Amino acid sequence: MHDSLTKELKRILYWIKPEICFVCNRCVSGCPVAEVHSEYRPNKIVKLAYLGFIDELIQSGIIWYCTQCLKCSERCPMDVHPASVIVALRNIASKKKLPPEAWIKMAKNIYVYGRITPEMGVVSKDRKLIKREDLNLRTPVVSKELIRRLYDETLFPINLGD
Amino acid sequence: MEARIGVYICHCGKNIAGTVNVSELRDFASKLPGVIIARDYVYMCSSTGQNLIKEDIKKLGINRVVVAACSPSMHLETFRRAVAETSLNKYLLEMSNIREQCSWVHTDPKKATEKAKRIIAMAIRKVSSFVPLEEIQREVQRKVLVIGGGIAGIHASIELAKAGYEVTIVDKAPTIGGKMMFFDKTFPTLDCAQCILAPRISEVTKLNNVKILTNSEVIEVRGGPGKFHVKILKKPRYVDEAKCVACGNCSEKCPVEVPNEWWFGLGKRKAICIPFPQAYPNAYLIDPNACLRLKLKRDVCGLCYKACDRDAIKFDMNEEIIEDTFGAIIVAIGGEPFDASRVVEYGYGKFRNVITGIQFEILTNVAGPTNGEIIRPSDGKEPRTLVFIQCVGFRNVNYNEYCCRIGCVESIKHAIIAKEKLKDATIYICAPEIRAFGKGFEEFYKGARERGIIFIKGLPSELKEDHDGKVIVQVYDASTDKILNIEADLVILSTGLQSSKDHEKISEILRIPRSSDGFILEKHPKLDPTATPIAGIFVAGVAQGPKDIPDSVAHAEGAAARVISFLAKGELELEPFKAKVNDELCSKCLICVRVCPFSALSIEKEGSLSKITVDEALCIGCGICAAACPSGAITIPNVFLEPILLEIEGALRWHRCMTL
Ligand SMILES: Cc1cc2nc3c(=O)[nH]c(=O)nc-3n(C[C@H](O)[C@H](O)[C@H](O)COP(=O)(O)OP(=O)(O)OC[C@H]3O[C@@H](n4cnc5c(N)ncnc54)[C@H](O)[C@@H]3O)c2cc1C
Ligand code: SF4
Ligand code: SF4
Ligand code: SF4
Ligand code: SF4
Repeated sequence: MHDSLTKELKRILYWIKPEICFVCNRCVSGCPVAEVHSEYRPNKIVKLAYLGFIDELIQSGIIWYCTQCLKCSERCPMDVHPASVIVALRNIASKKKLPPEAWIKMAKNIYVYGRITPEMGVVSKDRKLIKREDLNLRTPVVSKELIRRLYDETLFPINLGD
Repeated sequence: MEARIGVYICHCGKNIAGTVNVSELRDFASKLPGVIIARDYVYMCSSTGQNLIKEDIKKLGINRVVVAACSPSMHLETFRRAVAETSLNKYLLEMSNIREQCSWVHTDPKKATEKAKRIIAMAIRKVSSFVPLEEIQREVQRKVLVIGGGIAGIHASIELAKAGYEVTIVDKAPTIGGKMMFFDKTFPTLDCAQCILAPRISEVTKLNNVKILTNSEVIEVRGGPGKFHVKILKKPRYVDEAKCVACGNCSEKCPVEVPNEWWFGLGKRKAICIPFPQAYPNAYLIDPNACLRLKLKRDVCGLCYKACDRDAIKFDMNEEIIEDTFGAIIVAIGGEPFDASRVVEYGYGKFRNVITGIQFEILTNVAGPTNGEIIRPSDGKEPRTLVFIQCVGFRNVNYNEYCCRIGCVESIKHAIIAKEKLKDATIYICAPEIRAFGKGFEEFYKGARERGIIFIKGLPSELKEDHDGKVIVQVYDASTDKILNIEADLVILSTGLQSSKDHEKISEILRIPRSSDGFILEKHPKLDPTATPIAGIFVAGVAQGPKDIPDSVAHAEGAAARVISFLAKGELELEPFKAKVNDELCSKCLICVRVCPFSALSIEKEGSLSKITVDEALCIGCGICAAACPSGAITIPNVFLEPILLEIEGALRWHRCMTL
């Protein structure tokens, strides 16, 4: 069972190695999320995924807490890449249309604005909003086509509407 | 003699038969020209398997044998012995490796079987050209060279000397004793390290047949088993060992201070110094890179010279090259701790209160810079909270994949010593798990818990330095599922033992292989752990892989026993594969003389003519000269040239072998 599940995760990101984690706990010690969230343990996610509790992980939503700071992957003595295991799980979750609302919104914003939040103007000292155009600030042009390709190639198959 | 070939294919349980179709292989072999019989059997190396061969030689008149099985380095001797028990000459046998070079490295049974056919066809073609040969007897030198004078080298030397052999110990350090010189106490008994080392050092130095060369390195080894010609470079000490009484008057006057490498930088030493008070030879030496007079090469300073009333200081001492011949060599060069500064996130070398295990050893040593007092290097204060971190540089795909095998128990020892010296200190050991596998180790671990040492199931991701030298250790403990933030006064990184540059150097000089972890490779990991694959060269102690003292000593005694049985008869039987020069074809171009890496060839005058001669003791039959000779004047029986051509033919035309 683990074999086929691990293979599925590896198909998404080939460099992950959940099978060789020896629970040294270095990833937990340094994880900024684990520090504030007592349920969140990167190596626990790795082992649960390896043992096949993928549905449980996806339903619990815990995989969306990760900040992708990559500290766990950087310090892991076995190159397990917990952060990438989490990305692979997020991919599976996305396929099942389960990413949290905020994520879908972010993905859509990137599609429309090329960034997570829309471009904003500047607030002046007397708290007036000055538009970008008035300051001659260029608004970057976004290639929707490129972003769509990026999503496709990174297997982020969210229905973006148009 | 027409070749009547018998082919014997081993299943090796499922090791070969699991991948290679052995019955197909047998049917293939039985149809090749010259093959009288082809058989397969589950374990050819067993006595039943060997009997199959012996019976066929007797009953079917087989006069050439091919065994298709594992690597010849594993069982060539086994099968040669079996053949020798019959009337057949044992050199009329060829092994063909279908395990390491086929079944173990391939997964597709069909392709593996096809490859095995080629491998076996090569051997069958080759063996048909073999001629009977006889071993060469060679007298051996009953002298042994031991490289490295740590506890392993010392032990091996004592055993050899007691058995009546002459021994020379060469150590590159100015003293023998190795790592044990640094220790105050040893695990798991906590007995005084110097009290067990000193008697061994005094024993080895009193033996008349042991010569000790310190500050010396082996720079060249030629020749072969039974007669290794060795060049040793003895670096000048600038102090006459025989005259110096280690009073230290010189050192007091010396104006130069440099970091003390014997204390791993935890203190200073003078340019004229002695590594340890208990050093052997118990004499000072001058560091030529620090001494003003030696560095500037001018007639300056000389304060030590004036202070020494025994006239021991000799600024004009020179390097010495010592040449000698030995029958066997033991490599006992130990290992070195991992360089902790490579793990940047632990801040070693940057954070003042982060030190390594070996530095802690120096701190607790009464002969060390603090007289055995444990202090924080930043301010000399007594630490209240100590944290040990395990596996630094080990069990890690970026550094060493292997386990250092001593780190866990070493830290437990240090923690117990610290607890004794700093009564109410809080001491943590952070480890994924504790490996306490040796005799008495588990009890030692329990003793540490009873003394109140706290074990944390986890490793920190990084260390941070806080105000006034405190080190913040944020570490997750799996047993409580809590992330702890420990404010430590002193953090000790367990940097174990790894292979060093010396392994690289010595393996090149002696032409012995190393394993993937960088240590010296043993001939067989289970059945021949103290021999190297090169005859006459043995390995002892940590040089072969990380070990504690009891294991190093046991290994060293094993190596000594192997050397004794190797040299005891006073002569060796050498394989008969030696270069032969056909003088009529030879044009005396001397290319062979130049290319031979073992200097086995030379040109000698014979009356008015000259002739290339081969020193059979030195030639190992590598074939380099034969390949280089433009006149094709050199052959090696059963190796070069016809056997190789037939082998190639077997590989390339294997499928047509049947019609050859
Ligand atoms: C911090 C620390 C604490 C330890 N504590 C304990 C303990 O409490 N109990 C225990 O059982 N074990 C302990 N060990 C393990 C112990 O150190 C080893 O088992 C032991 O030293 C091995 O002896 P050795 O002779 O093989 O190697 P070493 O002691 O390393 O000796 C090797 C010798 O070879 C010499 N040498 C190296 N290269 C060359 C060269 N190219 N040419 C000539 N000479 C060379 C060196 O100068 C040295 O003298 C500890 C190890 C460390 C690092
Ligand atoms: S750091 Fe790597 S090996 Fe250690 S527990 Fe985390 S995933 Fe496993
Ligand atoms: S990448 Fe995610 S799991 Fe890894 S340390 Fe950062 S937040 Fe934690
Ligand atoms: S000559 Fe001077 S510098 Fe050199 S060892 Fe002697 S006292 Fe020290
Ligand atoms: S002996 Fe202990 S410290 Fe050393 S690598 Fe093994 S587990 Fe880690």
